[in-house]
Amino acid sequence: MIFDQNTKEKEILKMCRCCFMCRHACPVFLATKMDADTPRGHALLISRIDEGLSKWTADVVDKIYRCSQCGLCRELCEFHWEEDTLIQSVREILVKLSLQPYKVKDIAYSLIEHGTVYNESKTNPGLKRKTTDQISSDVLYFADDVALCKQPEIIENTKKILNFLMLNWVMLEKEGSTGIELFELGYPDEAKIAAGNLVERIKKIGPKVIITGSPHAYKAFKKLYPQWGIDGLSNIEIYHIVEYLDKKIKDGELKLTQNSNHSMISYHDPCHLGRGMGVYDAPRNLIKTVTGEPPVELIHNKNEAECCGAGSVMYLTNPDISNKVAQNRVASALQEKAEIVVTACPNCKMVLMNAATKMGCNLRIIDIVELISSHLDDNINLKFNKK
Amino acid sequence: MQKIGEKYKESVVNELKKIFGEEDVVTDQSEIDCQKVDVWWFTRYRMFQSCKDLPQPLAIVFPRNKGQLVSFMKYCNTNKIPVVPRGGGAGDCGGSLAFEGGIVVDTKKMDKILKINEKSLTVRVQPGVLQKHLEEYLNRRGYTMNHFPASFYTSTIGGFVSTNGTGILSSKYGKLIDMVHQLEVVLPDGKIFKSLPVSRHSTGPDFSKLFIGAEGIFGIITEVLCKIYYLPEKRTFLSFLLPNLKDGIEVGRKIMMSGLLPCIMRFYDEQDTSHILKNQYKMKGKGCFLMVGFDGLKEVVDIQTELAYKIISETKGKELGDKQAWVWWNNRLKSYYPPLDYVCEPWMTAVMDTIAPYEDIENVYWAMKSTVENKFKEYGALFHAHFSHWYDWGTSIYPTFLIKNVPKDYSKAIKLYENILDACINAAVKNGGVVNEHHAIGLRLGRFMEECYGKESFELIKKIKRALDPNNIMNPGKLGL
Repeated sequence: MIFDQNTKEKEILKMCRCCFMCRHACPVFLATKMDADTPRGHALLISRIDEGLSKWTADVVDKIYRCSQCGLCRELCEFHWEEDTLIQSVREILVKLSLQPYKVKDIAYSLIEHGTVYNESKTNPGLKRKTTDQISSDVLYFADDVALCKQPEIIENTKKILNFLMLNWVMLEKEGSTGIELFELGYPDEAKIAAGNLVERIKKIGPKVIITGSPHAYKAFKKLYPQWGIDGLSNIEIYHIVEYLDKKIKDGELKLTQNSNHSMISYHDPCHLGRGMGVYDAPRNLIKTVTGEPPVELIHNKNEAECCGAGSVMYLTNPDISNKVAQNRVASALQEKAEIVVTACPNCKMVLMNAATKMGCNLRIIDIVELISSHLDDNINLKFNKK
Repeated sequence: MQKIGEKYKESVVNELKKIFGEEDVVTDQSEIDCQKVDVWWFTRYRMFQSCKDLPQPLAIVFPRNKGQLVSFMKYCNTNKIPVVPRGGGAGDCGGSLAFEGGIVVDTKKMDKILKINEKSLTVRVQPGVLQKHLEEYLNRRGYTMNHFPASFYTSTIGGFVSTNGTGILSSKYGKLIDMVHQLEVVLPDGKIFKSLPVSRHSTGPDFSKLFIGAEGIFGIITEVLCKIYYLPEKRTFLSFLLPNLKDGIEVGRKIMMSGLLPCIMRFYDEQDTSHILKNQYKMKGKGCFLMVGFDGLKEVVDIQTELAYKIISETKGKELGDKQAWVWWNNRLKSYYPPLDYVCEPWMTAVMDTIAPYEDIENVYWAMKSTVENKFKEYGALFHAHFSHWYDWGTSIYPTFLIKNVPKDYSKAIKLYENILDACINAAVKNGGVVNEHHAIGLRLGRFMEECYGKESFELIKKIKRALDPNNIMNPGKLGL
């Protein structure tokens, strides 16, 4: 038996193991069309092991790590059974049994040792940014792993915006892991240690505000850390950058130029920002501010948006499946005749870009800071900031 | 023996990979296990007893085009390898289970919506598209297929065609057989049959009908031309609590015979009604619940609603208004989610969809009900039913039996299940009912085929099967063949 009687997981197994009702929406199922990749499939396979009818095999373990934990199944379920929580619990058990795939072990090792999923301690050497672990500052900008290692343009554009707002901002010299990836891969204890270390370094800076462009970091700081009993950030205002900029516009502290002669823009909701944190309006408001029109909605959007394939580090654990999931999302944008897909997550941008390249389509994928930074209204803002 | 088996499997899988490519030939035991369970109580029961001795396929293939299927069928026919077509896999009769081994052909990667014709209102699709995705596509263009079964999210068009599926709007829009203009099928010898592009022709029999409801025993569907409709301008509902079953059936008959075209008419027996009144209306009362709905152009809907209201009002019933009917419509799939759906429980259960002309339908109901409740009283067998597909000649009963205390002994449980089905279906057939299982006949009900058709008539079906599929490779064991 894997789970004790009367546990939440036991109930989820019972509810989900024979139910087909969310299969049509599961992004991984839509990529592979395999029943073993669905919430029902996972519950069925786990349930048989839980009841002693079969044993863990590499094949089943592989399927457990082919879930992006995007939470769409839970969202669309009439009773919101937490299949993603079930997967989380099972991964923790697999890690304890040391049955997790080697790739997962490697990524976890890299996160623990180097603070990055990329098994390297270096950051982009060409990147010029203000970094410190010593100087106190009002605003801490937290870029997160994928932006640091793979998407320097997100950092450059964010920097431009923060400077434009004349904020006294800094970045950590070396950010390290927020813990969320470790948590998702089944390493809750290591995740909490990483989180605790990060919080201690942030506290030394003493910021009043943390701004991040990473929904993963945003969810970790604002939702997971309190759940994990890590309260070092409780007196700090934490914003995803879309929320921060939307607020600044509403407060009259940021003016952006508007260009109605723009390409057809759609917006992809990152899972952790949307379903994870309920942030749907702010990015749409920003797009409308600079283009004069709301983005063209993808067929499944906001709380029903499909994962881009980057969830749960799938771009490294299962790159082929991750790419197929992303290709489906790109196809969805092409169906709306979108020319640009804006997102608000470096991980989403990375996998969607890879998918668009593989599909050989002309769709541009950009982060929202890239869009905003090209609409900063120097005249108006300088005037405002000088007041 | 084991070695020979493994070697044989390896050679078959290698051939399959040549046809479909490495990625689309799956032998993962995890996927095979997941595909062993449909919604049939027996498969769920076995899966959580022990499924070690359940037969399983050598492999599952995911074709992407009909060219692959042509090569595949030729290979399987030559080598006499069973072929089991699969759509959503959510039937309740084992129709897509590989009980005789062989290869499962999962059609879900053939999921393209090929062409919409906005003049003739048709859509051409591949068989693996899920109904939900097709409906989304149509809705965004102002159309609908008007096919809303319980498995709307889970099933594919190919699956619906193969079971002649029925949705909740069938009283107006019909079963799948009424929704299909043209079919393309790859036959067991690898040849392609394409029916004529219109459904109402006099160019000989409409041979596409041979493949509708055939559960893949004659070939694999590769393309379907479906009828579509404009999204309705207006939708209305009436709901009443009627005194008894007899009055309700008569009201339904009058509505259908009057030339009115309700898209939806659902009439529930007393057991189902008490549940509906308690949960939806938060009220107590005795009787039978009737809900009628109309859709289409505003003027047509209004006049039909008014006329139906007049017919229903002639019975001494209590009007319940349309508010809760709208709640039902907007949440029409909610009862299929656990814990509301029985699939999460170990209870023994089955639906036994039966259809009959109006002169027989009430007798069929009482015969089935008394069989379940009296013959299997010692097991606490429950029976409830509703009438949800109405025609201008008869209607169908959708009865469910339920036993919560399943015998612990495996063979006793299976025997009890078979006995209930035998007794209940025999009682229905004896009273003029026809087995009408639109989730598939499959393995669960195959043994009743000969009884339903009669020995001589069933012989013709067997001859057709032998002529089209002499090696009996296509979904063997299903439909009683």
